[in-house]
Amino acid sequence: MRRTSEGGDLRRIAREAGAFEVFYREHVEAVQRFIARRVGDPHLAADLTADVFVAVIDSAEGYRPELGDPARWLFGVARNVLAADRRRSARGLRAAGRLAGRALLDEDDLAELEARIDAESHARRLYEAMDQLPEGERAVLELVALDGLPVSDAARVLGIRASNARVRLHRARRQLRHRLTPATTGIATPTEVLP
Amino acid sequence: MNTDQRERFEDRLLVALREIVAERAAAAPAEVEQPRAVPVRPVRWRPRLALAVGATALGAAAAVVLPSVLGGDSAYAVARQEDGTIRVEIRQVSDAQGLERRLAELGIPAEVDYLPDGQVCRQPRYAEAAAGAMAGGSGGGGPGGDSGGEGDHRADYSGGSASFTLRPADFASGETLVIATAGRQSLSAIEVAVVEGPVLPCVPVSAEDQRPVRPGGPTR
Repeated sequence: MRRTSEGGDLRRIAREAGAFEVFYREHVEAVQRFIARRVGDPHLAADLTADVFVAVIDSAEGYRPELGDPARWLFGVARNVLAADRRRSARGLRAAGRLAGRALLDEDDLAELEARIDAESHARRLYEAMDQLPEGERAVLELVALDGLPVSDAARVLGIRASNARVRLHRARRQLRHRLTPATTGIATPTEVLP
Repeated sequence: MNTDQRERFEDRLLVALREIVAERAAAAPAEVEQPRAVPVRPVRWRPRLALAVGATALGAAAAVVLPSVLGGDSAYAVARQEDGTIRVEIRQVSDAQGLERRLAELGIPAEVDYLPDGQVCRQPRYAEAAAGAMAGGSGGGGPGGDSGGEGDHRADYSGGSASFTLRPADFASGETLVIATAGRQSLSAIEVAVVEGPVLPCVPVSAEDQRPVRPGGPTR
């Protein structure tokens, strides 16, 4: 999710397969890492990867440059898709996406997915530890601690003021601190997480 | 993507996604593909308050429909109040883009569509419903009802304009404010919804065709 895409062209990707492909190739790896920081099941990760890009197609025409560049916008879309899935799974549901990503996996893909998921195990434990946080605070902490966004960028993704984002981040960190072993760089890279 | 030659998941997914894009492109503008079928609360298109937005309804789609007449001299007013909430007043159905921009400045992503009398946006436009949060939803106030109910989301009809109050925090995780009105100069009806996830562009259809199947009740 680098910030290189041309914002003005983003609306085209909903209707032009070529424009979509450029966007997809630029961002698919970042989207998969984003998901691996949150989901430990490779099949679900594949489904969610498909879900995120279907959501991109569905919502690209509503993209407005003043809400952030395309990379940040994509963070927001991906976070919404993952958050919606998290809430559904908390109720024991899994919505059938329009496109079943898992049906596209072969053995080699699964191995790659599992490797990616393994590499993000620290982040995933942090993500799971965030379950106790209110959604608004969680949203900021996810983007900053898990995805490495500057607070100001996270604020734009979420459509809130940077000062507001900093307050939420502070609260979120304070609430999680007692469950996370302090690390040199704050809680972004906890060495030990949950009991 | 990787440089090896074998076809990978990412390649197969791209093929499938390109098909979705091509399907959309092939469809006429009036035939925009609908999102995954997710039940949303049907919009009541009646001259009365249908329901209030649930204050904590993360992602819930909810709507208020109320009557209005023309009033005031500027099309809309958006103001942050002392308690941090944002009050929106729509006096005249013009400059939807301006209203969207103003809301965006205040951290509220919005989709605003002003339609002629008798038309509504085809539903469903919202791709996600919330986790059991279809809150709010009084069955309906009287014509000109002045209060929508709970929390900080209130809808008012007074002084000839439609107004409602929003909490920016409710838009913190990507929610979008959706506003659709009917009326050529004056408001004859307004739908206000707070939705989670993607919002499709408004496809105007006759209000008669969009009558809710199960009026008054949440769909889940």
